[in-house]
Amino acid sequence: MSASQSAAAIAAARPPPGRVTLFWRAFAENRGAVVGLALMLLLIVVAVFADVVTPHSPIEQFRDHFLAPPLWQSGGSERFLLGTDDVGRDILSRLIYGARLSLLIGLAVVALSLTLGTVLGLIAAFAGGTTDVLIMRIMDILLVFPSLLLAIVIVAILGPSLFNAMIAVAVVTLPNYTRLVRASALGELARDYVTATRSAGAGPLRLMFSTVLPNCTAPLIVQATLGFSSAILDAAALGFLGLGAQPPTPEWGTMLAGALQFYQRAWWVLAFPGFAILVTVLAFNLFGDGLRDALDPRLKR
Amino acid sequence: MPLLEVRDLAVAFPTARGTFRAVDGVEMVVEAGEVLCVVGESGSGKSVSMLAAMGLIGWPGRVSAGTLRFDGTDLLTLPPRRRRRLVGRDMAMIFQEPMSSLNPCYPVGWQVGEALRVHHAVPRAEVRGRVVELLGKVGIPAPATRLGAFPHQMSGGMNQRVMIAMAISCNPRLLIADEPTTALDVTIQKQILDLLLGLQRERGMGLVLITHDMGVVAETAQRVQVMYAGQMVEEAPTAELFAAPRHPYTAALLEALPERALGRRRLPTIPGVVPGIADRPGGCLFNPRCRFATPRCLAEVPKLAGPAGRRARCHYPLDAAGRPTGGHPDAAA
Amino acid sequence: MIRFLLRRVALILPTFIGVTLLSFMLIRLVPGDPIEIRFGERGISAERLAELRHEAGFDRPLWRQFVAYEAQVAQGDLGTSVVTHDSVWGEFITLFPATIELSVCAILFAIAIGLPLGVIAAVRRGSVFDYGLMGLSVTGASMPIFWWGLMMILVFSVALGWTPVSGRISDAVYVVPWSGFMLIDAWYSDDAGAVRSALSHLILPTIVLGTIPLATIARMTRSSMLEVLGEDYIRTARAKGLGTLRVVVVHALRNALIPVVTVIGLQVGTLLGGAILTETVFSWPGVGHWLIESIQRRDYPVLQGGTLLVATLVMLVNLGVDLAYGFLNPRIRR
Repeated sequence: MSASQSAAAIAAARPPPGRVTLFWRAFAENRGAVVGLALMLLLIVVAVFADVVTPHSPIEQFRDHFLAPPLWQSGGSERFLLGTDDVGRDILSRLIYGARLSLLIGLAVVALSLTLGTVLGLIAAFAGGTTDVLIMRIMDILLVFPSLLLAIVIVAILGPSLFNAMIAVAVVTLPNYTRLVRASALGELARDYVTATRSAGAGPLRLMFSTVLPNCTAPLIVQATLGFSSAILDAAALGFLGLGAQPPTPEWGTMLAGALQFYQRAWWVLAFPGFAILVTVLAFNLFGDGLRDALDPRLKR
Repeated sequence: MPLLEVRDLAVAFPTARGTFRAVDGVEMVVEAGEVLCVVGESGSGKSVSMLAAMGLIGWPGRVSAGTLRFDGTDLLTLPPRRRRRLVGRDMAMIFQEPMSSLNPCYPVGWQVGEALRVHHAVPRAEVRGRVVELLGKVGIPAPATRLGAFPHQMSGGMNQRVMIAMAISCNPRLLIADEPTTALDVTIQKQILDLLLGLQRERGMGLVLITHDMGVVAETAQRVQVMYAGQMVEEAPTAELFAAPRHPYTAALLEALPERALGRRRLPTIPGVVPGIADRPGGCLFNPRCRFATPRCLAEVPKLAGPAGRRARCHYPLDAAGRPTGGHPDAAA
Repeated sequence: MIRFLLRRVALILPTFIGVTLLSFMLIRLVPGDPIEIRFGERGISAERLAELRHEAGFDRPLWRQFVAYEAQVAQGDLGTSVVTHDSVWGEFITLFPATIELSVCAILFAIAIGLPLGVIAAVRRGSVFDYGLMGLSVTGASMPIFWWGLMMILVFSVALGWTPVSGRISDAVYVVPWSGFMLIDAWYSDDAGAVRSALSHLILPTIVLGTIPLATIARMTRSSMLEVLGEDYIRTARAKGLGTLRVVVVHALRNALIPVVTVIGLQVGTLLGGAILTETVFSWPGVGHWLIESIQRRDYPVLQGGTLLVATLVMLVNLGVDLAYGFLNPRIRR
């Protein structure tokens, strides 16, 4: 009863639209961003329910169906919608499990570099002086290397595996977060409300995490979304070079590497995994761009 | 034949909530060699209407007009290429912000010379000499040495002088100055104004001076137009406007002048703000702020009325004593 | 201007030392002893190992080893490949022209197409062309280029047979490797089909490597151009009676280029990273291909020296971009 009453009261008073509504309006104005969001949600659902939606096991080998073509190609069957690979595994099932893997890679990489980058950036901003110079110099040095090359070098040191590839990609993207957090924290530190909190006796840790950090979240969220897509892309590239996930893991880049020798005979083993990478990366990029435009009032028309 | 003739000018911008008419029903006649002031608060459409006359309203704005003539040439039907031959040569404009109105990437000498080159005003070989002459004319000391200076190396006042040199480079017959002194220091403002008026007298240019400063109006103009919320609400010869404003808005503007408020305890102000996109009233656009507003003002849009050159957009124009006429309830019986 | 230049150069030195430190650490961190790795599976006696370690200075404290490494790098000695026993510098310099040729072609391709497209999209903002281009641009920027290269090969080489699958030039033509740049060498070749062959080998890798920079440049040009077109001085230019073309090219483009040049400069790192993938896909005998092979062969000195060289290159290009920026933008020139 109270719900409908208060709803009526709100409707009568017509308050200015809330922050979420305003944000959604700005976001939905960008059609690309909405498409990105829809694709992202679809991917997440598919990845979560991979066990239910896949027709076959991603590693089961159908010995009498090597390189079976996809459904619409002559010789294709409904049993393997997107065909099978060189050892008779269902490509669609592998792609779906690959989606799960890719999203997990993105999540882990972003979580790692976001956390580390935030802490380093805050330390640099708060400590200033030599600590600041040292941290930022190290970040500059990391930035001098082409990111893929640096990731390759790190994997070369640690040895090729999916886990090491994730660490490598996280290290490579670390400077982005550190620089971003440091810059926005420095901007916030100069504001009056921080001085006020400080004079009210807040300790540096409290100042860092509950006063300054919440005010730099908007650019961080955008960076994290875009970081998701570059993490997926870089991890796939490492997989393609044989430095990431190892076969028979159904990682998209690794699948491509394994399919190289069959490209003359069976285009589908090559086309679909890469297309899956493209669509996933595109979805996150579209969504991230939309977020940035909606969150950054400076760019609004 | 008037130099500039504008009738029924409207400028509309599409917005999320539909079209917004920034300027509506503006009329203006400028004779050769006269100074006309356009006054009004910020957002009253002064600049937009003049930009429209110059053809400088860019995407997504739309300009429409009943009449838009320069020296007898119909600007509405003129092909863009021919219109551009007039703009910058015969009709020129200077702007409010001299610092950002000059291109940061090019030296000022080059920028002043550009119009000369594009309009072939002087032979190519003489452009440099002419630029030096122009810069000297607008009061820039040692002009030959400043040709290679970039805008960021000069002060705001100097940059505004450069803008003026640029505008008069092709001997325009009409110069539109959009708040040319607003962004400058008070001490410089007078110098720039004197420079403009001196050039106007010397060359017999028509000068449209956009300003929100009634003091400037009193000192410079032969005629005045008052704009409010995108409409022209009153036009009058300067002396008459100051002596006996017809529109309540003009009257309120004048009352808010400190010089006129001597002896009063508080400076009178006009309550409220110029209506924006969302809060346009029905009827007369000034009715929410007008102390004489009647139900008729809320319902019926007033038209410009009165003898030519002395019109006001009001149902109850004020008389010489400042009382509403035309059957207003407060009018003297 | 001179002081501006000197300051930039001075800033680069500590970064360079940091880069050498990282590449020094690379070889120390790799599992296994570098001497043992050199001898591979044949093995080596403990005394001989200690002797060799002493000779190579591996028994000295780490910081002394680092100083020695710095001195070595300063003299231009980047070590020797454990596979081919050639100097790393020598191998790099023979392969490098192939990478430059590919990268320069790719970036020129990206600029030649991306810049005008971005300008047109900005001038016609809100049009179908604008929306279409922005959609394509975000797709291009999301492209896994290793797959993109494979798809190109599948379509243009395998299905249509228009272009060769890999390499820099056909085996059937004879070219004297004089400059290392295949287009130049082919130009001076007696074989009439040499240039044609070199071009047909170059075209797909150029498009593939140029895709991401093309998308980025188009996007950046558009947004930078949009911002500039709203500036007061553009209104001034139009008030002079200038035509749209002159306003856009003379007044807007120069200002809009300032951030775009920076973006193009920043693309160099991405470009070299992309070159690794592109060269691998097209078997293009360049530095990227060489580095990947060095990992597969566990040729760590090559990886170390190659990485150092690539990073130095990026640093130098960044410096060049800084200077170009100062040239384009008179406001920061002092």
